[in-house]
Amino acid sequence: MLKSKPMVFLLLLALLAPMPAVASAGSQAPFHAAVAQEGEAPIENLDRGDFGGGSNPQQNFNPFSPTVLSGATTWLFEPLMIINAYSCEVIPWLATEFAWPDPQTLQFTIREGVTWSDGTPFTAEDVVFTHKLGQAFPALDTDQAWDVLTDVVAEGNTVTFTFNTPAGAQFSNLVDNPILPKHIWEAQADPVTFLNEEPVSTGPFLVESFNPQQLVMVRNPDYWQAEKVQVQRLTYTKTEAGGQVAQLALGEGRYDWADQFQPGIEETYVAKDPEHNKYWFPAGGSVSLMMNHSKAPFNDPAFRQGIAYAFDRESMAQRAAFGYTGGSTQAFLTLPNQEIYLDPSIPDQGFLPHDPAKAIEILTAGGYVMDGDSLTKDGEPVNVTFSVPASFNDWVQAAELVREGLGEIGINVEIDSKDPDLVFDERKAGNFDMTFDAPGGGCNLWAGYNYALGGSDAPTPVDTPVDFNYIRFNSPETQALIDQLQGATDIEAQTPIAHQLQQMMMTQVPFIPLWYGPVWFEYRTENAEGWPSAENPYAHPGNPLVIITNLVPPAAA
Amino acid sequence: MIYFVRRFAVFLLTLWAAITLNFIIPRLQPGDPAERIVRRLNPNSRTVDPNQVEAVRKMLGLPDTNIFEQYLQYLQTLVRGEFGVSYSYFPFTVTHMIGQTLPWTLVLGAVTLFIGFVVGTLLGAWAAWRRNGPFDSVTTLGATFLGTLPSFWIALLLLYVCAFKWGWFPVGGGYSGDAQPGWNWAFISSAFEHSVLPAVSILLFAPIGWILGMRNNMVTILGDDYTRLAKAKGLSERRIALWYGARVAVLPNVAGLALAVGGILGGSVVIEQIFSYPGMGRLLFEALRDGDYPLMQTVFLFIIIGVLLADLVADFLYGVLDPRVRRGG
Repeated sequence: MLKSKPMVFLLLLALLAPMPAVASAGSQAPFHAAVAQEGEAPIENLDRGDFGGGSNPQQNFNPFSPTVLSGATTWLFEPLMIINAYSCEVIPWLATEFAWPDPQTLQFTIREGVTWSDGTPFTAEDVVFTHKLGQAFPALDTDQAWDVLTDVVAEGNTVTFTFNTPAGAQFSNLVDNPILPKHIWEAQADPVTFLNEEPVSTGPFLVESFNPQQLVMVRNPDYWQAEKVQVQRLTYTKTEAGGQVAQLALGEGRYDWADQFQPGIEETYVAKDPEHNKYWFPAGGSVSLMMNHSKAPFNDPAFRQGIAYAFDRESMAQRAAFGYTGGSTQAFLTLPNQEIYLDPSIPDQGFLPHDPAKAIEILTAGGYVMDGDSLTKDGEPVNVTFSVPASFNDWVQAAELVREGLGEIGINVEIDSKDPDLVFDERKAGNFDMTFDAPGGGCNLWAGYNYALGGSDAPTPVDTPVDFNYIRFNSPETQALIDQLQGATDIEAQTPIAHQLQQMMMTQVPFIPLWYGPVWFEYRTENAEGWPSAENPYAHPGNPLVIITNLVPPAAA
Repeated sequence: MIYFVRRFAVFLLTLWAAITLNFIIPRLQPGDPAERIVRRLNPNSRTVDPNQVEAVRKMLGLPDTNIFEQYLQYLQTLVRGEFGVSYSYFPFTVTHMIGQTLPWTLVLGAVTLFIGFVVGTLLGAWAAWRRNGPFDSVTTLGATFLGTLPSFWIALLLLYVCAFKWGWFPVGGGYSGDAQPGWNWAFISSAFEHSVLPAVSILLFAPIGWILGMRNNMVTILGDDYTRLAKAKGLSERRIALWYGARVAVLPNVAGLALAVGGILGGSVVIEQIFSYPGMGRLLFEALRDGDYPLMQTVFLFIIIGVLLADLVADFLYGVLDPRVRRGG
């Protein structure tokens, strides 16, 4: 038996005694508190939720950093042009015009009259400097643009990018990059770890105050289109993005503007204040059935064409996406907004019906035999394992519908739901049968095809991890089309190639788009109006700079 | 002397084993830290951009040397006291992040541990002294009942009812956004206000173990011969309860306290997550989620060293105080 004195207890307490003082979190720079005193904009403040940087955000305004306060840098650093992610139109921003003199040369005309927040004029040199950062520091080249880029030069107010290959598809990546002030960043020895604690920027808002719980952005009165910005302040409050606290707070009407998943949005949000609480969930990328082409029966086009008719896509959208979006087209486009790219000769815009009889017909013609209740090939029943990340509840629900749909045509599916990292690792290595993924959805059609099928002229061997074309689709013709699409610089050149790729999607069925994943966007009309909506889809929720320049006070709307 | 040398050798051996396991276990997780970080940066997107993953991988400088070289490097950096740069909080160092979060967890954990220990021990002693009376029944049954409830559920309930429904307390966070962290009244009062619900959630459960442990020890002791002797000598009831019963019965609880001190960090994960408390438990949770090996290893190392040191100190003290332990080994 242990025997001791209460002294043990006292000594242990003494161990605790040198408790450090309460955290002093981050030095507080004065920022721009005094900037906007006179002439305040009519919308006093909009409340928002999380602002990035993890649960212990640090003062970091380096837009390349994974712990950047993205709630701030969204408003600080602007791109050359904005691609309206809904309509796919190009909106001039820090550049006023662009041209492709040839498919390997891209030129921008830089906007004049823009100044950095410290008064320095914004010039073409800033654009060149920003893009060359990715060359000098590969860790900052988030698009791997320097794989194809050979040089960037400024001449007057023109910036010219030259590529080593026709590079039309690089356009959206290039225009997207936030432009940084050369005169600040060139003095930094290591821009990768630079914290940029007192940012110099061109954007519509400046940092007013920051502590780890709250970030306040204040209107930049010297913004180059300041007359369009009618919001004086944006106040972000730290919550875990998408966590329960954020969901409750949204329901309480504490956010004027949010982009989070909300379960039962009609009851938990809209019903609390039907007059002001609104949402719009446009369609994003297609959640698709991905099949491993390195093994039978998935390497058989007849099998893939057949099972494409086995699914009730609307039920899937209903169950997995709460009916916010619908089933998606086999043509691998986000419809209706990307209809300009659609081949009009494809029947029903490529929307395939749920038709088990037709599925069995195609399968039978392809050499499969219905033996009683089960589908067989060469006397062997077809069994499939479906891997799904266990924490993606909507996907787990939809996997059940995949099982039912394939069950109807005699294919036995075993659902294997497990840790997401296991699913992703097996996917990369090519050790899976079927799984879900959500490729595409953006305006850059090439990026969608390249992610899903890029490298299909020489698929990566199984057990060698790969990110692109992990389904190991083998089709040199498809790869040739993808390469052509990469080079095409305008919609006239892109459309015919896109049509051929859509035909390939319909006949080869390398993967099966099932339903559109919704893009989350909630807004309140109490303090501001002019939000994009299903009725007025002038911008995508992912275009905040476009939205902010369209917001007006409620009375004026 | 041999006793102390032997205890110290055991301490070193355990420490080495723990440090090695600390290196191996996180690396058994599947997945790629760079990919997880990109996923976290795009929370609404189910696909990751492989180009962005590649850039983040270069940024973090993820090692491509073999696992044994990594292990040797790990040992070297530990000896030098360098814990490296955090993956999930790049470019901040692990030490910087722990310095920011440790005080929150230590203050919350130590205060609640101390209160829980004192309250639990006193209640247990009182229940044992008045054993089988109404107070004993209520305390023992109440503690047993509370112990069966899931603590995270109670915490969620408190958060929902007291913070959301009634608005008595702030909803999560360590302090309000208006307060500037530092030694000023606005900040300290705000931090206190924010700590009430997490503290209550811990305190509802903290005394249970101490109550039951104390009561059971003391009931046994009060039946011992020497207690009866004390009664026979005609000592006062209070004196017998405190100096013959409680004083001896508290010793196993004190040993338990040593382990509980080391457990403060580990036990804070759930509560800090629920209340979005800016402490080290939440940091550990994020490190696990993002595959942040440097941060994970360091937090675990702190926990391990905390427990082992507390244990070693307790061992040494017993050695000093009880000659039988020293001789018997």
